[in-house]
This record gives sequence, C-alpha cells and structure tokens, in this order.
Amino acid sequence: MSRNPIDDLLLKISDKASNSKNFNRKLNIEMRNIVSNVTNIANKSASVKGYCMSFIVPRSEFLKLIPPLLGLSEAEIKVGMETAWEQPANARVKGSSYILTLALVYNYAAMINDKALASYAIQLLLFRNWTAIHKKTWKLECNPEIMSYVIAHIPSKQYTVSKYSNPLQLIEKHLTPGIIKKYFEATKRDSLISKRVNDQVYSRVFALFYKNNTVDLKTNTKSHKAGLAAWYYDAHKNNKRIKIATSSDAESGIEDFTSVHSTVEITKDVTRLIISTFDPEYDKEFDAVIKATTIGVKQTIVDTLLKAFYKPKYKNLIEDMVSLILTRMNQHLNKICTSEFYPLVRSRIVVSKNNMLVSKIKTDLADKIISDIFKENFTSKLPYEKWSLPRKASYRAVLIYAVAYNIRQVVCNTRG
Amino acid sequence: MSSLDFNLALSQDESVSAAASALERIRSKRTQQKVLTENVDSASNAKRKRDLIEEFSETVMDTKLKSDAFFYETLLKKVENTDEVSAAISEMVESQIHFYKVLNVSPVLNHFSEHEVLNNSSSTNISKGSTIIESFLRTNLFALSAAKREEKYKDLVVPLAESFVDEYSVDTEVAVDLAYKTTVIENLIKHLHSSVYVNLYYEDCLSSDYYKDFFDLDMLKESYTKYCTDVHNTAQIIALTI
Repeated sequence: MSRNPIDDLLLKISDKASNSKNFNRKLNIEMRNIVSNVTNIANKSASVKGYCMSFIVPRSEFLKLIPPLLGLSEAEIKVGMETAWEQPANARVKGSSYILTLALVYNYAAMINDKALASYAIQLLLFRNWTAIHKKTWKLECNPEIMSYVIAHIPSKQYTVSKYSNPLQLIEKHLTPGIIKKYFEATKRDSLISKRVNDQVYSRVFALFYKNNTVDLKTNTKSHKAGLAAWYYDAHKNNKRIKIATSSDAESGIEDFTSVHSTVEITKDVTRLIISTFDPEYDKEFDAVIKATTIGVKQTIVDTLLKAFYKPKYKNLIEDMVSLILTRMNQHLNKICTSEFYPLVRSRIVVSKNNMLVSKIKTDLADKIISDIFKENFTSKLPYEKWSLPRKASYRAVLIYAVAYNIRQVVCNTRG
Repeated sequence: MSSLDFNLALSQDESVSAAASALERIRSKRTQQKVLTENVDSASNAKRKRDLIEEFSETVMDTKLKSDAFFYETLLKKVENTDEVSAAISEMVESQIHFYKVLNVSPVLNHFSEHEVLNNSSSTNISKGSTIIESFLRTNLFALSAAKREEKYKDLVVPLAESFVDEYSVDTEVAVDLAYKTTVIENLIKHLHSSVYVNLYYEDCLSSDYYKDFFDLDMLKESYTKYCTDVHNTAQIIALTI
C-alpha cells in the first residue's frame, strides 16, 4: 500500500526534528504562544461581548512562523494536504494554507503523541471557524444585550452554549477536549482522519449557530429553527434584550499588548536582554521586593543568583520561563508597568499552587537554572534538587522576580 | 495412679507448659514487631509530613492567627488587666509571624480546621477554644496528684520562683504560685501554637549540614529565641493578672 501525501509530509518533518535540537519543544512553544496571544486578546472582549465576540485569526503570524519551522513551504503543505484529502475545487478549505498547515500540525502532534500540541492546533482551527461563521451570520453587528437574552433563554438545557459564559471557554473547555478525545487516537493510526477532524471542527461550530434546518416547500428556501443565529433574530424581532453593565476600567495602556505578535516579541526581547547582559543592575523597587521575599536567606547567595542567570546557556530555559510567566499573567499584562505588577507576580506565580503552568515554571525551569548555578558557584553537602520545598521556595521566588523584572524592563522601557 | 498414667500426666503438663511458653514467645515477638512497625510508621510519617511542609503563606498564617485568637479571647476573659495582656499577645504574635517567615514554612492548623475558622460563628469557636483550654488544664494540672505535679514541673518552677523572689521581692509561697501559673500557661500557649512538623523542620534546619551555608542560621535562632521569650513574657503577664 502506498503512503498518502500526509505521511510523506510527516516523514519530512520527522527528518527535520531528528536533525534539529529541541524541535518538538520549539514547535510546542511557538504554537502555545500563538494560542496564548489569541486568548489574551479574546479574554478582554469575552466579558463584554459574550457570545457576540469573535477571535483575531493569527494567519500571517502563524504562516510566517510554523511552515519554516516544520521545514516545509506553504505550497508543499497545500499540495500534499489537498491531494491526501482529495479536495474538490469548491471545497471550503481549498487553498487555505492556514487551515491545511494547522491540520498538518495536528497530524504531527498525533504522530509524536503530543496532546497539548494537538489541542493548540484544534483551538486555532476552532477560533478560525467560529470567527468565519460569526462574521457570515452577523455581517453588520451582533448586539451583546440581545445575545445575553438569547443565552439566558435557551430553550434546551442540553444545548452546550448555556454551560459556558463565552465562546472562548466553550472552545477551551468543551469543543477542543471533545474533539481530541474522539479523534486523537484514531489519527495516530491513520493520518487521513485529520480530514474528518477538520470537518468536525467546522460542523460542531456551525451546529451552535444553525440547527434544525427546514425547507419551505413553497419558496424552496432553507431556514433554521434553532441555534444562536435563529434565536438571536427572533429576540431581535421581538426587541428582547438584557442590559449589560459595562466595565469602567478602560484598560489603559493595553494597546501595547493586544497586538497578536506582542507576547511572542516580548518573550524574544526579554530573552535577548537577559542573555546579553553582563552586569545586571536592579532598581530600588525590585530590591525592596527581594528583601521582603528573602527573610532568613543568605544575601550573598541571593546576590550571586541575581547575577548568575544572565548567561546564554540558559537561553532556552529563560525563554520558556518568560513565555509561561506572560501566559500566566495574561489578564494582567496591562499592569506590567504599574506598582501592582510584583504583587501580581507573587499571587499568580510565586505563592500560587496546584496550577500546572506554575508548577512547570518552578520545577521544570527555575529549579534547573538554580541547581546549575549552585553547582557552579557553591559546594553543598545536599544538592539543591534534594532540598525541601520551603528551602527551594525562597530561591525560586528570587529567580521568578528577576525574570519578571526583565519583562518589565523590556515592556516599560523599550516599548514606552 | 500407675507409673504410665503419671508419665502421661507429666508429659501432658510438659506439653501444656511448652505450648504456653511458645504462645508467650509468639505474643512477645508479635508485640515487638508491632512496636517496631509503629516506630517505623511514625518516623516515616513524620519524615513524609516534614517533607510535605509548605513554604510560608500569608493566607494560611492569617487563618492560623484567627484560630489562635479564639484562645486569646478565652484567656482575656479571665484576666484583670486586658490592655497589658493584649499588648503582650500582640508582640508575641508579631514574633511568631517573624519566626515562621524566617523559617519560611506555613503554620499548621492543629486545633481548628480551616472550615471551622472561616465558617463557624465566633461564639462557637470561642466556646470550642475554651473547651480545649479546660481540657489541657485538666490533663496537665488539675488531674495530677501533688507528687505528679511536682515531678512534672519542679525543674521549671523552682528556678523561676527563685528569680521571682529576687526580681519582685515576694514571699516564697507567692513566687512558687506565680511560677506554677507561668509555667502552666506557657506550656498551654506552646500547646496551642505548636505543630510537631514545624518543630521537626526547625530542628532539621539547626542540625542540617548545608542550611547555614545558604540561609541565615543566626537570624533563625534569634527569631526563635525572641518568639520563646515573648511566649514566656505573655504567660508571666497573664499569670500576674489572672
């Protein structure tokens, strides 16, 4: 049996992965950053617009980053995927490099059994489909007050929409896990399943907007009796709405961060700043934060740690740390340049528990850097890895604050 | 009885005796094993819990202080000069917080659950607090015979009473009474504050080979001494005004 073109593409990616150091990790981080950029922006409008919100589709950012990373050209992916999927000329995804590349990333995630990576691809597909159907349905304007009425009066409790307050949550908590659960294992066995996945992504979103289609036999026109679109227009016709309290905080300064590219750029800039600094200096505000955090800790060790992580060899770990810190702070990015920043870093990361992201920042990244610095600079009868949690915690906090300090330097000093 | 019967009876007696001693050996072995297992279990439990001890958290500390406050309320009801006692308690609480911060561990709630502290009414918790205090006093003072009290407190009370005689020029009887009260109240406060795992962790820091290289051991010792002194002073003030 001959291999299908998707398998050929996957083989090429595998070759690239085996020749390139940390390939899978890089791909995972880039995808996570792209998703996180979309969700950061979406979070802002979710509370105001609810189900009237749409997403910014990071098409150009994605296509600029991912195909070169995979070692393939856009055209190569397009031809390969379309041939494998046997797309007719009028197919919905015909010619969409964005969708086809996302599907290929999903295929690759299944091949290497990386569910997180698969989730990122599916989420981006869902964001894209939601936005496309949303725009098609509400060409001019979707009124959040009417939509609130619709959501509050959904006839069937079985309808998933009523369980989540906005499409972002619906996609993150319901649609993505549902699709992964149903198709991930099958995709591992047969790469062509990605075509069905792509169809499902579209149909599941479409079904939220349009359900129970009927055809008027006299006029031969199709209409839908249920779904967000049908209910919205019913409510609109009957002038039903629920007044929404508007948020007074104008999110000043947020413009700097709401660009799709910003957190990816900030991550790169902060990493660059850290690995290229030889003699770091900290300001008084930072010194006060560290002083309050390190009661009972030897100051000389803290000082050493605050200087020793500025090294190119920690580039990957620092890059991951910056990226995860920004993701964890996603709803508070507009506060980086305010006095609330360090207290937020403290509550969201330093003292936060039972959160996978925070656990990754502390145990997978901070601990590795600290352990290496301690090995290089001090002799300890018990290696850092074997220390008890409270003892590690003080030094982890120092490193997290120091990385946060550099994020602030980049965002507030170089981006005005 | 024929000689055969006698021999049979003798052999039956011997066999019963042998069986009894075997049974005894088995019982004793089982008890030894049980004690050994219990020791190993409690040691490994302590180690595990010590390993699980978490870094200082202001939220947990706040809950702990709230739970301790229910005991202070009960104590304050029994004293005459509440202002002086309140001031002593405040100072003691400050040094307690500082000690936990220097040690960088979260306190452990041992008399109230978090749910009780946050959801029960103050009167319910104060009432529970006073029951705990009464129970402690009954077990450690009232239920003890004069001889047992002496055995338990003599080493602590005598030097303290001597210091009271020197310091306040009071009668020996008054000094001994005051020293008794101070010692019992000090033990009570330590019992209310205490957490076995925090104590174990503190001892572990003192005996650790590397702790002093990375952490300020002198500051830790000082903060512990200050905390103990403040507990003693508070107990003394309560004893004077009770």
